[in-house]
Amino acid sequence: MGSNTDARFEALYRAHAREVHGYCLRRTSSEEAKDATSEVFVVAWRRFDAVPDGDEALPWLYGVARNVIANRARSFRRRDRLAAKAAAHHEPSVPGPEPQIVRSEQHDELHRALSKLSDKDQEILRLVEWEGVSRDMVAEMLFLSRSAIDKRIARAYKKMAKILGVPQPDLLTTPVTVEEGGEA
Amino acid sequence: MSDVAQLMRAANPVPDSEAALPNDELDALLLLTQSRSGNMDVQELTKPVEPEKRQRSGWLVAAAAFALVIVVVGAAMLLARPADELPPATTPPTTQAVTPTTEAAVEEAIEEPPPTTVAAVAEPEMTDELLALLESYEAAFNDGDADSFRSLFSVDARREDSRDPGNTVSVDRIVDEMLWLGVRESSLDLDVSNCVATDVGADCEAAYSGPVETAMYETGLLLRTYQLWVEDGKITRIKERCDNGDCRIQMSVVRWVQETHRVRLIDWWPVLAGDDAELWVEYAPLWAEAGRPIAP
Repeated sequence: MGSNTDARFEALYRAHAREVHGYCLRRTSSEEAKDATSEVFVVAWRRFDAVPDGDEALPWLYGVARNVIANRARSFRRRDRLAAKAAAHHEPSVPGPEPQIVRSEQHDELHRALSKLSDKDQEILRLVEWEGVSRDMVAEMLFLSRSAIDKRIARAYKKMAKILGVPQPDLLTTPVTVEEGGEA
Repeated sequence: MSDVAQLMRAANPVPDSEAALPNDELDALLLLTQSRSGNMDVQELTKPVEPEKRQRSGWLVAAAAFALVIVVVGAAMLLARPADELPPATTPPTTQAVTPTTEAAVEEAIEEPPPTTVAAVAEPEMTDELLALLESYEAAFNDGDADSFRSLFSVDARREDSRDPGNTVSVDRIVDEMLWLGVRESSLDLDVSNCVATDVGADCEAAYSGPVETAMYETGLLLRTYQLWVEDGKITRIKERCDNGDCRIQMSVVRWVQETHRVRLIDWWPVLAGDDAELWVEYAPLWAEAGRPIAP
């Protein structure tokens, strides 16, 4: 690649590396997050022509990060398969966020409730609530319809509310019209 | 915003992405990335990532092509099978791959020698033979025969998609995930009781059934909704909508409907030609089949 491309790539990296790293860090350990972040930008480098401009670049990078982490998780799982099959329930074997990240007991309960959801529902909630990606963009990223995203979120919160014992309006019968999100 | 949504936001493990990656680490990571990306001077010191992925991708393409040939040849052989080699009509459903499981399959095979060309598979009609072939997906998985399942599913192997860069997962992941999840029981998780209570066009959201669909759902590959049409208490038509644009007939659903509603699959087609996001499946009551009594 030419120096112009080098410069554009570095600009892309400096604009979004922290968000991508944050995305990875929310889903894996500190060291894994750095390695995964690097891998995401290696993919971006190889497919630089495919990286969208402007506001769509970050969701594109999140999509790559999701795949990179999934691939890495698969490697972990293969390694741990025998031990894991003995487990009664499905726990991701990728190390979770580092313990230095402050988490209250209530947060632990929420993370446990979150882990009871399907992988895709977890991802949708994280993207919307933690990464602040709009629901429309999440739908595009995950190849789902917007209505499917709304329904999945409503159902996910309903399930989590039940697990956590938190009162929850019946979101399944309440149209979701408010665009929620925003980096916390 | 709901209480759970508030809790969710508050539980963000990395509330400040800026602080989580200081400048020196940001710069170091850029250097690492650049070295991995093709700076030859530095790349000699690092393990390249791309060659391994290329091999994997090539292997997948070859495996998918090989599996396709195997399945096509197998299906052609099955379709060309002489009637006297077919199992007796009383043969119970089996978990062996590509075996007709119904009496109708035997009779139709005897009465109408099926085509032996590739086109029979390339443009499938929902014959009992094809039903059996598709059922072998689940049979292979239920038997824990990952190799069989892998070879069958390789026909549909997903390769890296230009829309989904970085996604090199494929049938390997699906099989891994299935084994990981331990989804081997033939649980039926299709609840359409609310739909059946209405007359026409009842929506049934997110109906999943069978280990294959369940496992694929768990791996995030599928989200399907079904819209059922009911006449005289019988399901006569299903509209399947696939959010991933990859509608395929779900054998567990077909079987469940046939068994519980005493109907028989007679046709299926996409809503629009070439549209794989919506699929119609049409049933007829069993009594519509000439000369075939309805089992009690």
